[in-house]
Amino acid sequence: MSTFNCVTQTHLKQLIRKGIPRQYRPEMWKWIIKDTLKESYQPGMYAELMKKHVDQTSIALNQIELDLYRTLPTHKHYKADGEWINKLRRVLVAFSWYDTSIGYCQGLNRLAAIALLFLDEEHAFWCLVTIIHHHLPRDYYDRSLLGSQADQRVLKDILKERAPALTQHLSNCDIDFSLITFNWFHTIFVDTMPSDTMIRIWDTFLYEGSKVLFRYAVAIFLYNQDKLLAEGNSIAIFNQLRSMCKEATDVRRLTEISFNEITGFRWMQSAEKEITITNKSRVKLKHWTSYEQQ
Amino acid sequence: MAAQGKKEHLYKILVIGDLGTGKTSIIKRYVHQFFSPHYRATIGVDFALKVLNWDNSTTIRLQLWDIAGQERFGNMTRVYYKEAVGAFVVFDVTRLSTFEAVQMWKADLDNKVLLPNGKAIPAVLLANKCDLASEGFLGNINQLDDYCREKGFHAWFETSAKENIGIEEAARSLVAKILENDETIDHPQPDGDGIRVGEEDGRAPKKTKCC
Repeated sequence: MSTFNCVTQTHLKQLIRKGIPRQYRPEMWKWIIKDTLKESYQPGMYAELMKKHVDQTSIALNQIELDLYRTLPTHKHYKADGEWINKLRRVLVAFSWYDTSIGYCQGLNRLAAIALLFLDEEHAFWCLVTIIHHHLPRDYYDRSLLGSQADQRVLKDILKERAPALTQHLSNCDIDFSLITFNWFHTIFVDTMPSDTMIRIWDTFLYEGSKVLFRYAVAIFLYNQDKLLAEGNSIAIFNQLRSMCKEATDVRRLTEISFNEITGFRWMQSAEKEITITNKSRVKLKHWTSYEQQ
Repeated sequence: MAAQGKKEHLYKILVIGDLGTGKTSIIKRYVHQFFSPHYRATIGVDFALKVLNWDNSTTIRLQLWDIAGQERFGNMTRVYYKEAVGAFVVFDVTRLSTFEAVQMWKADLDNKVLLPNGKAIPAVLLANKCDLASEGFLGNINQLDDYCREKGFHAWFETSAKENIGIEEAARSLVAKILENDETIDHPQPDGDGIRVGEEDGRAPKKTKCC
């Protein structure tokens, strides 16, 4: 841990944005998790949760069971019964007891599966806690999914500012792109993005939090803007929108757009303007705005 | 040959039901004639397109909306259901709780989307994974017939995405009902704000969602 204290936060941020070298990823992720959670991080709690609830059952447990093999079914570790599926089960079950207001939400299985590729079980559990309790608003995965939905409103608003012609074009074609982008945010890009690009986003997301998702999401739109604008047929545009995340292999360019070409300043205004939906989501959006102002 | 006056329809169809009942598998079977036990759980919504040559003068494009089954995603269904003209409600014959959830899904549907004439959109009930059913689980067929009448389902079918049972028949039944509705409902004017379900050959749809 002391190693990282030698570099300044800004320098570390720049380094992480360039991608954490694979051999350092497990150590770096662990450090980021502990640094983010601070006193919420309690070594041993994972084992205690498992022990305490060993004989209990719940709706969440049943749902986890139904999703285990439907998490990353083509991945070598998760396609069949075995130790990896068991680890995945334990992490998700432990989290469902740790936060009973969320329990299990579909999508968390993808997050846990990715965390386990780089972290031991206990740290994968704390990685979930970091994402769900610290990086994203509390109502992101709860029974309302309000945070997830509100983020889509924010994304629309940001895109309207950053790419007005594209937004107008999509609107003229009567396309609601949140039908597609909801999934990007809800699974932190695990569901649709090539893994090399997705892991790079995770590096930065774990260190910097939610705004990284917006930056990359907008970058994907900007990267594909010319192609989308050139197409007039609604169905073809919709299919392009669906495939552009799957085809996001140019991580260097996407990162450049995300952090060098998208400036943060106007985002704050955009988020404040978007405070409209309901009382509940108003709270959420203010949360997001104040985060941005830090 | 490019038949003059050939009718084309674009219909949005929802596929809903509890988590793990096989919605994605049914769609993949129907669209790609293929089954795999390895589909990912759907997060949010996914889309598929099936083109049917209904008869010599009619082509039908079905946009199938594959909607996440976990209850909390129900908070988003209003957006997903918009402009749909038909639905499959799916349950898993090996899990009673998924059948008990059927009426919740049907009520959600009727609550959030209607045909332009104010009637419920036609829904077909699919008793899926029938290849795994133990004897007698479904009770007798008459009961399910009564259930469908009572809950307002157009029809029900036993299906198996794995063994390719019942899916084509169920789709034909739903599409026939949609076509029947389409013929009896007065279409709103193209720039009205009602639901526009059809499109003329060679013209881009104006007010339809696409996939």
